[in-house]
Amino acid sequence: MIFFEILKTLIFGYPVPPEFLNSSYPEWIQRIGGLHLSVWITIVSLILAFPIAFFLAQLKGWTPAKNANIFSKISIKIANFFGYSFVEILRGIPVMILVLVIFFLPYQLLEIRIPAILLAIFAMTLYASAYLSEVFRSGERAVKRELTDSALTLGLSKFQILIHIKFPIIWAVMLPGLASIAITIFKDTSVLTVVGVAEMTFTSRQIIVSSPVSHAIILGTVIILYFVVGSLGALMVSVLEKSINQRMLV
Amino acid sequence: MNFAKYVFSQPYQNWLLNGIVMMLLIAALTTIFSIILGFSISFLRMSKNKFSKWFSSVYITFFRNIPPVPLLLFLVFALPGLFKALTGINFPRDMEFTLLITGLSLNTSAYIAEIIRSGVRGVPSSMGDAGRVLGLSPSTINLKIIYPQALRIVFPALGTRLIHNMKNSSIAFVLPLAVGNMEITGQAGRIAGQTFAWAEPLIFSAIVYLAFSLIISVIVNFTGNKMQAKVMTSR
Repeated sequence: MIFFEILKTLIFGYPVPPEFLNSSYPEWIQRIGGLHLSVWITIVSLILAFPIAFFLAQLKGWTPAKNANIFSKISIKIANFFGYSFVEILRGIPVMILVLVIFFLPYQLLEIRIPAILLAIFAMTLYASAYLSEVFRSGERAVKRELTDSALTLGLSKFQILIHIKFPIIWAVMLPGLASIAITIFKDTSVLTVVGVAEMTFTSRQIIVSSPVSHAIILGTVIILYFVVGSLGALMVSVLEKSINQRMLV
Repeated sequence: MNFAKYVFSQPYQNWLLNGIVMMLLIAALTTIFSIILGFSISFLRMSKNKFSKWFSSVYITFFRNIPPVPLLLFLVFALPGLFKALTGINFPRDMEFTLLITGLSLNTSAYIAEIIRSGVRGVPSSMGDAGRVLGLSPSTINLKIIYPQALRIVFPALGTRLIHNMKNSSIAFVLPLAVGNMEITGQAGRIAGQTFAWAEPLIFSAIVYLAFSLIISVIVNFTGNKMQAKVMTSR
């Protein structure tokens, strides 16, 4: 069945001929493609974005102590400014421009060649970290001062407070935002098609060029696959959210 | 980096200016059509008819969960063939720009329908009850009482969508548009195609996007604050 062949190609990527494989990189990273690659880029860039976003959130939320001297106040203001402008710039430009800049600038300005998949992950990481930092901030704001203070009077150490008190609250507050960011990034990996990363949209364009099957069937399958994966993720998160909310209420 | 050569010289300067105009045009058209579509979908969502409720919720989940790039590719590359196969009439040629606006509006209208629904929910139900007690008809209650307040509540969210639409217009880069219809990313790509210089036009267009999103957000905040003040006093 040709339709199942197409479905298989859309999910696992176009088969790479052995003569196109470059021996200096691992083989699986060159064979990966299709929906598989879209999901993979989403997961890897979200994981990489976590520490960056945490750092950005700290930069933005850094406030000087009351008795701080002028020098430390100024340096904290500068750090705030850097955090804010980094996030605002990344949120103000479209993903398309971000991806094109990251793919074409290093070669034109510095004449270095970087594998496309690394650049794709880098672009998506930057994009995710800007949005994640906002979510982190809202999570940190949700932890009330009374809670940490009462934990301190009970004799818990700072680390215990972080693990047992702050983290569950931050996690519960962050989860919906985190899920929506994950789905947004998964959807936005389709933009990588313009730079030739072999994710699902690009694979579908390759199939369109090379197979006699009607365009409507191929592109319709692509849209349905995106829909299925995106709504499955949303469903999973809503189930998780319900269980967390129940536990928080008890 | 040579901005004087690749950005601020003819004909590239005119191309990029044309791109800025097209970007704003795409954003404006998309916003208008998606607000119209989103309003009708949210009407369906809030009606009592079971079928229209079902249809609108399927519409909203579908278009919120699919990315705009494959949607636009489907509209431009697959729809003409599908149309021919189904009706036997040739699809009109050179429709890429119309299809682009259609696709982006479909994508945004799902979000706008949800935004409007949340706004209508935000208006206290006592408002509608008071209108009913005064003997107003349901359509008058909706038009004169519920929707004006709902719009004021959701205005900031709609403004965010306007910025989002402007940023979304860059997706037109994947489509084979006519030269005059290209927005700024497409024009940057066109310059790069002639000169091999990607950096200068791309950085210029990034700055343009940033500047316009800042300007629009300032305007939306200013108007939104005024509107919020009106809601507060009317309560």
